[in-house]
Amino acid sequence: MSQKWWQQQLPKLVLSPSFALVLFFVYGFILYTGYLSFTDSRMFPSNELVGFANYEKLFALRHWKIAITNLGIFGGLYIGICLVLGLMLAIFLDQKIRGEGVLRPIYLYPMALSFIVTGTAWKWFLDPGIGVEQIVQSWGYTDFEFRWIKDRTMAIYCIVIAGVWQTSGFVMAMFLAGLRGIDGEIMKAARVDGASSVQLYRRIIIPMLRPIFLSAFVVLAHMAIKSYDLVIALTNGGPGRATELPATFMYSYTFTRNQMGVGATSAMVMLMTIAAIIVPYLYSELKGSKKS
Amino acid sequence: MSFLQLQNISKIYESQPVLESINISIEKGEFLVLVGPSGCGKSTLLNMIAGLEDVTQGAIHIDEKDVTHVAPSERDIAMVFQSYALYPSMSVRENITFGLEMRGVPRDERNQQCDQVAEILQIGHLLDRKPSALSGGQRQRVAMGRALVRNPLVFLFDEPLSNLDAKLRVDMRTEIKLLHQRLKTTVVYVTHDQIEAMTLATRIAVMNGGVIQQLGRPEEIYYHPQNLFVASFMGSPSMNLIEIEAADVNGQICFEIETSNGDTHAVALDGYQCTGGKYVIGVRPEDLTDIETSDQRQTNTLRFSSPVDVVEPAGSDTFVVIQVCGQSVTCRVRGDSKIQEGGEAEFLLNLDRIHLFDQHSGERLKRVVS
Amino acid sequence: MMRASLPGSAMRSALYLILLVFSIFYLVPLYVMLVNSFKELDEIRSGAMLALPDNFTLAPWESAWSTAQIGVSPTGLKPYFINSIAMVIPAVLISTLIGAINGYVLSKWQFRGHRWVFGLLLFSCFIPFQIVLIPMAKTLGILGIAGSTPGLVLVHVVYGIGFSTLFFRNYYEAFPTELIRAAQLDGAGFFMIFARILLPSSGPIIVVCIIWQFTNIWNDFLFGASFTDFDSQPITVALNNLVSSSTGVKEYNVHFAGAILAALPTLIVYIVSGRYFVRGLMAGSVKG
Repeated sequence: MSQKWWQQQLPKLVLSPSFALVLFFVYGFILYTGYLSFTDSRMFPSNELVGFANYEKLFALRHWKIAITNLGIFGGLYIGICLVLGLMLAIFLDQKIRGEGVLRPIYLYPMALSFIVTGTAWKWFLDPGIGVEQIVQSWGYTDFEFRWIKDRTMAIYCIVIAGVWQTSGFVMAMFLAGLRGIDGEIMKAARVDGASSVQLYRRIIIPMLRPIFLSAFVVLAHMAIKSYDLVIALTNGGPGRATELPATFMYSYTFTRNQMGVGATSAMVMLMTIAAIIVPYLYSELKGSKKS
Repeated sequence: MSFLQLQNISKIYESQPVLESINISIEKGEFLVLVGPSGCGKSTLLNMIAGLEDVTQGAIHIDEKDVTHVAPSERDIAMVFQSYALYPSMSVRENITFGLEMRGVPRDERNQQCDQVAEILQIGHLLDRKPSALSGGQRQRVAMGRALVRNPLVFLFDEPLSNLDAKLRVDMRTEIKLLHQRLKTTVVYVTHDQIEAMTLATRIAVMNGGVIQQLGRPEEIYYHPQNLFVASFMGSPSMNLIEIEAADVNGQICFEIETSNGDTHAVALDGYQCTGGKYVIGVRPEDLTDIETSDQRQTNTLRFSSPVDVVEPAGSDTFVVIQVCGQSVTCRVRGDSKIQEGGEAEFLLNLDRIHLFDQHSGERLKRVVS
Repeated sequence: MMRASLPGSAMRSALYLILLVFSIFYLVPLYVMLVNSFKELDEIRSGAMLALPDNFTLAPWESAWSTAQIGVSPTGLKPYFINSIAMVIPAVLISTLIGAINGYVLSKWQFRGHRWVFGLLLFSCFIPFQIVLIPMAKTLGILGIAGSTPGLVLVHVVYGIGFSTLFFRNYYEAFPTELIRAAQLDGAGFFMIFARILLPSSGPIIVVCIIWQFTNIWNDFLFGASFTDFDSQPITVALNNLVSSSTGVKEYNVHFAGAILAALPTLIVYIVSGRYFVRGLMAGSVKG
C-alpha cells in the first residue's frame, strides 16, 4: 500500500482502540444490562427471559416509588435552588465588588470536595446530638429543635442542603463567566436607552444567559439522577427508606438483595431518563458547532 | 451659549491623565467629528458626553443645560456603538423601541415611530428578525434606527462603520451624510479614519495624546494644519514632510532643494517671520505635480527636474516618488501620466501651498501675507 | 470595561451583607471539620461545635491516619490513601494521553462520521454509571483483575476517555488548521505534527484535563465501592466505612480529621491552580 494511503488511515487507526473500548465498555454494557433487565437474574446473571416482568415489578414496588418521589423532590429543589442561588450570587459578584477575588474561591471550593466528604461534614453538622440544634441551644434557646436528618419527611431536604452547598458555587461560576462575556457596549446602550438596573437584568441580561441556564440545567439534572455517594455518606438512605434515590435503590437491589433483574431494570430507567435530557442537548450543541 | 459645549474637560483615570482641558463648542445641527489615532481619548470623550463615564473636571452643556452629572438616559442623547450593541434576545422592532418603552411611550405610538424610522432606513422587512439573522450592514442600520427613533438632541456615533467591509463603509458613509442633511440633528462622531472625518464633518477635532490638536472646519484642518501631527494625520497619501536648513542669503531667508541628480534650487521663504536654522517643510502630494497636471493659474511655482524612483498608478491619479534633500517625497500626477520609473521628469512645486513648521515645537509658522 | 451597577449606598451595604452571609454558609462546614478535628471527644459532645478547641490535640489526626478501625483492621486511612494514589496517577496519565490523541484526530484529521464517533464518546460521559456496574464486575472477573487496583485503573480510564477527548478536541478545534497544512507541506507526518506542533502549545489544556480527571477519580466512590476488596479500597470508601460503620462510640473528631485527609489532595489542587480548575469545570459543561 502507498504511503499516502497509510497517512490517510493512520488517524482512524489511532482512534480505533479507544473507540472500541468505549463501544464495548459503554454501549456493549448498556446492551447487556438491557438484556439482563428482561431476565430473571437474581444473585447471578441468568438467561431465562421473562419479558417485561421486571419493569412491571419495579413500578409496582413501594420502595421504587419512594426513590422516584425523592428524586423528584431532591432533583427539583437541587436544580432550582442551585440555578437561582448561582444566578443571584453571580449578579451580585458582578457589581464591582471589592474582594471578589476572595469571595469567588470561597463559593467555589466545595466543588473540589467529594460527596463523601461533603456528606460527612453535613452529617455531623446537622446531627441533633452535636450539630446545629445543640449549638443554638447552647446559645440559650433551649427549646430550639432541628432534627430534619432524623425525620422521615424532612431528611430528604438535608440532602438538598448538602447538594446545594457543594454545587451552587459552580453554577455561580458558570453564570459569572456568562455575565463577563456580555458585550459591555450592550450595557451602555441599555443605559442610554434609560433602562434601570432591574430592567437591564430582567429584559436584556438574563435572556442573554439562556444558553448558560441550559448547560447548568443539564449538568445539574445529570448529577441529581446519578447522585449516590451523597446519600450514602449523609443518611445511607435512611431514616428507614426516607432518602432512598434510584441510584441507591439500584445498588442495593443488585448487590445486597440479590434481585439483579430488577436492579438492571432500574438502571435502564435511569439511563433513559438521562438520555432524554442529554441526547437533545448534545445534538443541538454538536449541530451548533457545525454551523460556526 | 453654544448648543453643545464642553468646557475645560479633563479626565484622570487611575491617576493617569486621559484627557486634558478639552474645550469644544458647536452649534445646533453641526456634525462634529472627533478624529485621532487609537488611544487618543476620543472614545473616552464621547462616553463622557453620553454620561457613560464620569467627568473629572470641567462641565458639559447640552442646549443650555448643564448635564455634567446627569444620567445618560436623562441627557436626551442617542448613541450608535461600534459593535452595534443590539440586544440579541430581542427582535429588531423590540430593539428599536426599547428606549421608547423605557420612557413610557405607549405601544401604538412606539410602533408608529418605529415604522417611520424603518422606512427611512429601509429596514421595514427586517422588523421581526433577531439581530443574529442580520448581515453587518443591516445591523448597522438597526443600530442607527434605535438612535433615530428617539429623536434626540444629539446623536453620538462611536466608530460606527469600522466593522463593515470597504465597499459598504463608503455606502453607509454617504447615507449618514444624507441622513444628517435631512434631519439636521447635531452629531458627534468618533472615527480614526481621516477620510470619514473629512467627508462627514462640518467641524473636525483632531486629537492626540488626550489633547485637541486642532479644531476647525475640514478645509481649515486640511489647508492650514496647526502642527506637524495634524499635517501628517490628515490627508491621504499624507503630507510630505521634508527637513530643511534655512539660511540668510543677502538678507533673505532661503532654503535649498536638492534632487537626486545633484541639482539644487534655492527657495525664498517670503513673508515668514523666521531666521536661519532647521525647519520642516510640508508639501501635499497634489501641490507637487508635473507640467501636464499643474494648474496653469499658479504663478508662484518652482520648476525642477528629478530622476523618478517609483511610479504607483492608483486609477484616477498616479503617485510618483522622487528624492528631495535625501528624503522620499510623493508627487501626485494624472492617472494617464507617461512618467516612467528610472527616467527623469519635470516637476512643479506650488510655493503658495508649502507649509512651514518649527522642527522642535512642531507648530506651524504663520505667513504674513505681503 | 463598564459593568452595570446597582445604585445607592444602602443597596450596596445590603449587597455586601448578603455576599458575606453566603461566604459563611460555604465556609462553616470546612471550619467545623477543621476546629473539631483538633478537639477531644468530650469537648465536641458538650455542644461547642463552633468554638475553637480548648485543649488542642493532634490525637484525632494520628488516629485517623494510622490507628482507626476501618472495616476489620485498625490501620487508619494511610493504606487507603496510598491505594488512591496508586490508582489515581496511572488513571489520570493514561486517560489524558488517550484524550489528547483522540482530540487531535477528531479536530484535525476529520473523517466521514467523525461527528458520530465524537457524539458517542461524549454521551459516555453522561451515562449513569449504575448501568455498567453488573457487566463491569463480570468483565473484571474474566480479566482476572477484579478487586484490584489495576482493575480500578482500567475502569477509570475507560470512563474518563469521553471527557479528556472533549477537552482536547475543543482546544485543538480553535487551533489554526493552516499550521497543520503548512507542516504537512514541510513533510511532517501525523505523529510528527502532533508531537512538534500541537503538544508544545497544549500546556493549559493538559493542566485542565489532569486537574479534572484527578478530582473526579480521587473523589469517586461508586466504582471504588463496587470493584475493590478491603485491601484495594480507595480513600473515599475507607472514609465512609470509618464514619458510618464504627461500632460503639462515634469519634467525630477522628471522622473530621479523616474527611479532611480525604479532601486534602483535591483541596490543594484547587488552591494551587484554582484558575485551571474553574476552566475545566466550564469546559466540561459548556461544550462547543
